[in-house]
Amino acid sequence: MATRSRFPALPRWVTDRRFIGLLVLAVVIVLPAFIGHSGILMRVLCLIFINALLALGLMVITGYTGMLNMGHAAFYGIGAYIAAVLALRFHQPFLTCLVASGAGAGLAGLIIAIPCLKVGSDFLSLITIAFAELFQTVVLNWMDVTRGPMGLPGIPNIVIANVTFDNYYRLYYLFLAIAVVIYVGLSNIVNSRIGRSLKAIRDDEICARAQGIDVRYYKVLAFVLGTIPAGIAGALIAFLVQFVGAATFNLDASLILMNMVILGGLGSLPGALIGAAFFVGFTELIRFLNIYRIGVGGVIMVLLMLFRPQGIMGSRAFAGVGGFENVIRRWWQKRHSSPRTRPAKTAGP
Amino acid sequence: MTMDPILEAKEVCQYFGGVHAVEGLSLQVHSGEIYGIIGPNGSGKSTFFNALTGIYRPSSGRFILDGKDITGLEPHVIVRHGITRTFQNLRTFASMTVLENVIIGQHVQQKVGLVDALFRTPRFSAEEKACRERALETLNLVGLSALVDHLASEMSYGQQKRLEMARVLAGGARVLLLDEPTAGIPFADATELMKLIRRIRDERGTTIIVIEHSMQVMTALADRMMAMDRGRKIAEGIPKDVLQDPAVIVAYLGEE
Repeated sequence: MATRSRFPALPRWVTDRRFIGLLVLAVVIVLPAFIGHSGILMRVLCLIFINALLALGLMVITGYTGMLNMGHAAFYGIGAYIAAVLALRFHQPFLTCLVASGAGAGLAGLIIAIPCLKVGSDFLSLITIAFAELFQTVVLNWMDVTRGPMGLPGIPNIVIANVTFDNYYRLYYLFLAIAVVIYVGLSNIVNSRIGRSLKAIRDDEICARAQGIDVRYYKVLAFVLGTIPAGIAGALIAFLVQFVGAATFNLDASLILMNMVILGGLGSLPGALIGAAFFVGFTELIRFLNIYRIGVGGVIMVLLMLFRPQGIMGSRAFAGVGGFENVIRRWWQKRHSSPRTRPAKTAGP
Repeated sequence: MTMDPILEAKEVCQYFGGVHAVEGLSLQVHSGEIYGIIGPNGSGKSTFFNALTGIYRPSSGRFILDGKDITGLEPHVIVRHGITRTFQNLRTFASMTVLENVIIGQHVQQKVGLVDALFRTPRFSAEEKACRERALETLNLVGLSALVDHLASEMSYGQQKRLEMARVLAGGARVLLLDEPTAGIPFADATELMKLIRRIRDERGTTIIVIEHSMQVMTALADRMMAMDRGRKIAEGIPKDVLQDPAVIVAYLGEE
């Protein structure tokens, strides 16, 4: 594709997306050799992989299709609780829990998508918030199954084919592998007619219909594609922390996921990864600020809206009239068109 | 150009509460014809297009496309039956490139599904390539080749109008509905656009229904035309006759 390179000085292949992607992957693969000694760092990276799944799913629903899902953490929670109950009560192995979590969350996504079909984006976000609250209420009160506020502790280690994943190295590579598979799967799906249809629905639903796009089908598909990874992430966190509790999957968690997606840039899967890595990493880095750390996320989002509203990898079309580039450009133009600095010229070229 | 009507409207009425936007409209468009619709603002032309393409469900009446009753079907289903349209107030997909916009226009012609996309089967790659090529050809036709990777939102009005044109052309439908294609663009571009429209009809046998304000454009373009006023058809025939019809003149210029 004859795209204009933003960095003409460098050879084309260096800035090619796939090259950068493979480079990042290579770094991530060898990383444990350098930081494997630190349990904290390995754990943070596992959390990044889990949040990456969440952000990727939400990116498909909100970033690509434009449906404001403000309750994504509920699907995360559904996956987590399904995994926990299957593991603790029915003694199911990890892989069974993984599949069931993904399927369960996907089914929930399918069910929620249906009332969302008929409403505009503002009411849609209310439906998702209502669902998230419903999830919290069910979990906190269904004592027999979820033990309510006490949560479900004692989830066993992951065991696959007689191999026990009881150290961070194994967990790291397992989570990485799952994240890569899901990333490639989602990437293949959105870089096709399906992805184009979703973006079309986001940009102009009426025009999308006029191209023959079955908007209802694609909206439901987007929800399912987005909630399956969330369910899988839930299974992973259940086995990583070996405990599930309702507080992890509250509205706050949903908001943070939304922030990841916005920071990364709507409509960009790599952006979802960047958003997840940033927010998880940042949360850990600022722990030392103690109580002052609470507002930092908000400050970051405000700065983002001022200087780069489209997010890091988002389309310029979302930048509006704000954004760093526009601010600088306008200042530059003003400076260079003032009568004092305009040189006297006779004829132009 | 054959004589069988490819599209028929039978006594179509579109009411919005007390507002009779379209009243008892009947017409027949023949295959391969360029059929014009003219009328003052608010006469119901775009509403008629909206009713035809399923954006509104007609209050009464029928639309028959090639013998099939398409009245009140969902918009995306009607597209599948072979009608595509442009919009009066320009609708493009702002965040996507020019090329992607035109590729989307071919949505109904693509057959590959989720599984093919997921596993990147050869069928998938072949189809994507074919769509890209058809999109590039069409963009060449409308003169936007240089802007292929630009964002749709960053283009001028005239360029976006050409983009919409490319989008409907790439779709390859049998019937094109063009809603004021020359509105707001300079005369030279309008002439070029008219030549393109005629060329499409001549080369592909596409039936084209055009809403226009400009009588010049209509005379040059349409084989037959109809004039509307206040939701009703007030004249029909070849452009020369319709534009001299007293009822049409009254509608546009008022009574003496």
